Amino acid sequence: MIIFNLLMAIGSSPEGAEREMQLLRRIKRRDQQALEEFYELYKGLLFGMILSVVGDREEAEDLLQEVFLRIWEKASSFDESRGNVYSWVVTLARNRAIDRIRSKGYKTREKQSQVLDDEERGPTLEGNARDPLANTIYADRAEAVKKALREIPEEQRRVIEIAYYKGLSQSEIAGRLDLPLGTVKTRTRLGMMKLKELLEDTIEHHG
Amino acid sequence: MADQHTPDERFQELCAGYVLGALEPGERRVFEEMLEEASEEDRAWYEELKASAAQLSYGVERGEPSPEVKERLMRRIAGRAQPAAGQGVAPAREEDSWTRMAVAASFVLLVVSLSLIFYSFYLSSQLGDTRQTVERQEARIEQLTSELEQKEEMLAILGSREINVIFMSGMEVNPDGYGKVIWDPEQEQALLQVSNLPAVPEDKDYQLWMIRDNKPVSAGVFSMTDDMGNAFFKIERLADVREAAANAFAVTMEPKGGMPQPTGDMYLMGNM
Repeated sequence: MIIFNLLMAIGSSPEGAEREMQLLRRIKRRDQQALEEFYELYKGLLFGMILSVVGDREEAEDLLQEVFLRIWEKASSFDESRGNVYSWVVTLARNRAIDRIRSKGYKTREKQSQVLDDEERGPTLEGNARDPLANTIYADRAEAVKKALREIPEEQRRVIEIAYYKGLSQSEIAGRLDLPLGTVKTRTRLGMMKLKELLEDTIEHHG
Repeated sequence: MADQHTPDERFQELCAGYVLGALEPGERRVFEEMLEEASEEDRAWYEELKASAAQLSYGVERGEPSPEVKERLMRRIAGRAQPAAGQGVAPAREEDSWTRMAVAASFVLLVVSLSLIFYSFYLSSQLGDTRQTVERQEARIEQLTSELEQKEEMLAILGSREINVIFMSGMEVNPDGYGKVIWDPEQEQALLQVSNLPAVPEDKDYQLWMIRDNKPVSAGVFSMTDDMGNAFFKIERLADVREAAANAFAVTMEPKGGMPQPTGDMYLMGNM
């Protein structure tokens, strides 16, 4: 029961992962209804992630659409044996967003005030009322990660969050935080090792 | 697991930046090369760190995109689905165009066929007309040839050294009629010329008689139609009378094919 709850918490429950896989299989078969359901399942998370990276709502919506078009086009090339659907989709969205900010407008972005606030960044749980299971899964996942991040020293957590949620490179972070690049690298390394340690159990289950 | 193995700091540092996507392009390539030659343990460490980084996505603040995004997305997907379906649709369109072309071709073929049929009817009727004309001409030629032959025979008879001509006059039933018998005793031939004789009914014929010693001998039958105002007939059967002296010639109307002895009205009569 504890293991089941843990699995639920990290979103690798049979229901969640299996559902994502089934949707993706239907998308492979060009089922537009499946893509619509997939969009409803992921829109909040992916939009939040993209928005946090690009910092512009209009651009984030544009990218979100691109990401789902890419999912639609590339679903057939997804290798089920190589990873779960969630990681694939999230990586796709994140890479897309980072490509966007690095391909243009970097200087504009650098001037932006990038305030990271735990409360702001916290998951919003409304908006997916039509899918209580998805809400539960993501809420639990989010809580687990937030809990882990809270246990990481502030200065380390900060560089990780800026790198991941804002899509900045280590050089950019050094510039932003007015820190030597070496310091950023060290803090990143230490912070990530701590995160790995904290999430170790869930990682083992999550694969 | 990770506690049992820790890669060197350089690997850890690049790896941490790499899994967060925070390395500069040059460093990224360095780490990828490093990873290719990494030990199993270092690779496993990298995989675990990568999985940890992936967990960070759960901590992202969720956002609510405007409903238009979904509408645009579904529209574009429907638009993209069409070319894929279009592979089925395009041939269908091609089929449509082929069908249309086939229909058009059929129509053209029909028109051409009908035209050809009408043209062949036209040609056929033309040919029929031509054939009739030819037949008419042939008949005319035949008639003219026959007339010419008759005239030549008549002339040949007239050119004979010795000819006898017997004039015949109309009788009571047809006073306006007249005729001649031009007789060549040497060649045993004769020409009969008659004029103003009424046309004979279907079941009747005129019969020419040579009267010798008051006994009529048939010299042949002939018929007359309305348009024959003036007609010539060649008489072959005169051998019987060659030696005997003929007294007279007469023409009577007799039943079709002639009679051994005259039975009907006398139309022409002439004495030697």
